[in-house]
Amino acid sequence: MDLPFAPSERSTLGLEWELALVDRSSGDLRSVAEHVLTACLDDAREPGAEPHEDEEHPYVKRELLTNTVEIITEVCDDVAEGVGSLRETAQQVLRHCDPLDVELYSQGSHPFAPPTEQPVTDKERYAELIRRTQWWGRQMVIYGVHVHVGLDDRRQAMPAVDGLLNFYPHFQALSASSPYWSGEDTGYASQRALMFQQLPTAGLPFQFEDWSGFEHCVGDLAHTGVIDDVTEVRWDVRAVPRFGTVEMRICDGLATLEEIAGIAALTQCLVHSLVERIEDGEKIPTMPPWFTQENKWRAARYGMDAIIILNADGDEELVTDHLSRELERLEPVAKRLAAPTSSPWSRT
Amino acid sequence: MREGPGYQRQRRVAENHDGDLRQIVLDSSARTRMSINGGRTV
Repeated sequence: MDLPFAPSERSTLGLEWELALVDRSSGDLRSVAEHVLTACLDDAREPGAEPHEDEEHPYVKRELLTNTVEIITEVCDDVAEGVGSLRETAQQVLRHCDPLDVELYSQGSHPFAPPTEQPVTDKERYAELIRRTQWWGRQMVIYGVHVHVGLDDRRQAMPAVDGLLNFYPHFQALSASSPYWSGEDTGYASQRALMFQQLPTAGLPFQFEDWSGFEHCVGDLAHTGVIDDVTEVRWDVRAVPRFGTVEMRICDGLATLEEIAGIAALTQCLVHSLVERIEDGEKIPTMPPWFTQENKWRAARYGMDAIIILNADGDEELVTDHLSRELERLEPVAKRLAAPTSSPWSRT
Repeated sequence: MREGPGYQRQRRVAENHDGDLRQIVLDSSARTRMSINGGRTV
């Protein structure tokens, strides 16, 4: 299968923030996304313009469940612009939540809502997902943050996926925010990480030597009816051909824009640094899949206390120690990209 | 750590409220509102 790649300006950013709509008093989920989406769309429409079917707000989107909205950005030059855009849209969404006594909530999961009781958005693609995945599909009361980073050449895409996968446990540990599920403490830092991978095209990505390997895989999945198109490949790290980006989807939902800024900066700096290394002729090291899988599990289970596997030799280190060193290494990159160098999680 | 990731905060909030998980949602959504409106969140 031929997958045309629309190159982006290097290291530009796109951010996506999934938010649950919750009752201001009870904290329970509220299925009012359609109301909020319609109100936001009415705001965005040109004066005098008639509403039409399939009209969508440019930055506020539907999701699988009617208790969820997703806020997205345009292509942004830097983290400040991306977070500023999220803030502006979120303020608009909040204005329409206020009369409903609804608040916005983004953590990896809702701590006590019964998953199978949550209404699904009335769209054929979601109905098909539920028909296909049944009980597992009805468990998806989960929320995440996604970061796209622009690539200007498709040859960078697969090594960028490989490079980000080496940092899977770092992203998972920093963002882990789903220890409770349906009223129970799971004992995990991120229940979402292990729940989302139950869908057939979600979870850790396969790794490919080059773009043609990715094309071959997507072709196989389409040929056998697993997917209709590449957008249904929902891997935790993936190339997005139509945007010309690598997308990092590892993170649990984050409560604040300060945390999103930190995650976005880390993603952007890592990808920028990886692309520079690729251009210098370096082959980005990979780990065998059994190590990558173990790293995901350890970070989901232990969060910031995870001892992670660093390389194919099986060397190990506490995730926070390795992260500290990597942040130091990336500081000059962050300065060049005007990315924040302080973290909301640690003393600066 | 100045704040710690979400799972640590959630367990702390639940512990401080005798296991009332509703408080996790109220705490987190209040921080989200404050962040969106430009206030301090820590």
